[in-house]
Amino acid sequence: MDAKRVLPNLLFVVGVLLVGAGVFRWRADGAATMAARILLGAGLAIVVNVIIARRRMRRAARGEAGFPPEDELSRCLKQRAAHAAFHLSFFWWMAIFLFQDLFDESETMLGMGILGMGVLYGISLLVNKRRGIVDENPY
Amino acid sequence: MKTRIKELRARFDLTQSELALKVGVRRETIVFLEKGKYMPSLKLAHDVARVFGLPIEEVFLL
Repeated sequence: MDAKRVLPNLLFVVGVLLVGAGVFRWRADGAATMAARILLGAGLAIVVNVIIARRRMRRAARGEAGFPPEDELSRCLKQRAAHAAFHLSFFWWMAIFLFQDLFDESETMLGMGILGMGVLYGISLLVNKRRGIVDENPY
Repeated sequence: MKTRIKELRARFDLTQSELALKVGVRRETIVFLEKGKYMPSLKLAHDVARVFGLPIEEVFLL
């Protein structure tokens, strides 16, 4: 394993360990104490940044090799995924408003809505990739 | 859509990456084309066919 991979992998493991420690602390304390929040926040920040850095490094390597960062297939997949996620998110928001009594605070409800939209986009991207694009329709 | 890309690649001794570079797409697109999971644009179909020196209808089979 070369040095370029060792550091991100090491940081990723550290991030996961911090998240684990944060969850453990949260459960042990029985509430989201400041220490648990710091551990969770730092761990999540490291994990997310390592994932983003890895993606950028891969993209840069592909660019150096002469591959385009985006082509007609990837654009089409994104468009279709966004189209499906946009429609599905209407149902998601409707469900959230129907069950708004389950949320203690409106911020939590909004956070769930926004997070759900991101998850819906990810799922529809995966479904489109698995299914492929076998017709001429733009969406 | 069925294609003869895999067969032609083998005949011309081209890897998926090399073909992708020649037509200016990502390798994933060539994978999708070979599996018949993507209907390409006319330009891409034309570019792929030109690499093999064949007309489009001999590379892409409807």
